[in-house]
Amino acid sequence: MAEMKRVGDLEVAEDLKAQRRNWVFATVGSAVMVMVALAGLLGLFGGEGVLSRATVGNQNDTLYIQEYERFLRFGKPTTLHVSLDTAAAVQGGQIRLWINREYMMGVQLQEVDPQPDTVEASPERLIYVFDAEEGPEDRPTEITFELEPDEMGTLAGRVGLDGGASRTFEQFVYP
Amino acid sequence: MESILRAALIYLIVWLVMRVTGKRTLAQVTVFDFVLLIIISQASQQALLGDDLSLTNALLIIVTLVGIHLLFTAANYRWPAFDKFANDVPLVLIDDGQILEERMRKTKVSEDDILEQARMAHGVERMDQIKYAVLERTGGISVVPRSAG
Repeated sequence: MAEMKRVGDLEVAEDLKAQRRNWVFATVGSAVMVMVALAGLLGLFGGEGVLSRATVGNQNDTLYIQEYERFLRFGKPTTLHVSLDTAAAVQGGQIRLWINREYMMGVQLQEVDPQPDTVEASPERLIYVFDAEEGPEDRPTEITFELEPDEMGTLAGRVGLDGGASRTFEQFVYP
Repeated sequence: MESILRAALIYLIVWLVMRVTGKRTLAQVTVFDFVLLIIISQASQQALLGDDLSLTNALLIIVTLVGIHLLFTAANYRWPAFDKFANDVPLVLIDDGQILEERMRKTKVSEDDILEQARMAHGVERMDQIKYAVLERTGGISVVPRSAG
């Protein structure tokens, strides 16, 4: 209490310099909070929102990632939605879709829809094998993976058809 | 380790947010502030505990929070400059009967607020009976009536 100031008869530790600094801090802080809220609304912090929802490739490709989220949150379920050109994807009565192992280490697989008939593991990939009918099918085959992020930070994903096209995508997992 | 980091981070975030919101929110609990406080505590509780409902986790979190609190208290005492930032500084709003309009506007304190406090604390009837009014660091308003000075 060395620098006690007097204002008239009042002994009060008023400090206009500090006061002004604090006001600036409050103003900047409020602006930051508003921006955080807006960014959240746009999906920058994961979940829905235009900044988060993304696709890879386009609808007519053999392999098209129809939906994934760029920004995820730790432990919050997310969907990876893959759409395949049925005629090109089915070979020998099977669809063999793989995902890189590294990516799968970073997430917990909750469910694959439709259920694969078998899963084959290789050091690099997990191959999901679905029995499928061959034929001149013009409707795409859609496969969804329900995932739960298990690691924070960047996840590098790659999905592909065994011996065919592949697509990469990147996701960021918030704590 | 995670519990400790979690608790420290939540403490800092909530502290920062409350600090930005300003001291008035805490001192005068209106319906809005009440709602805000309840919801903030609910939202942070989830993040604080995560999915670990064990006694050990609760213990670690409590110890961490109290520890940080003690550190802050010590820092406030040791470094006045830090104290001025962390706890804000008092501000004179009425100086010898003269209302300092700009300060009132900046702190969003109205004359009614001051009169209310003056009535409650001193039974003061009119503005001209107030000699000093100070917006204290706690967010409360202290009033010094003329007759007393």
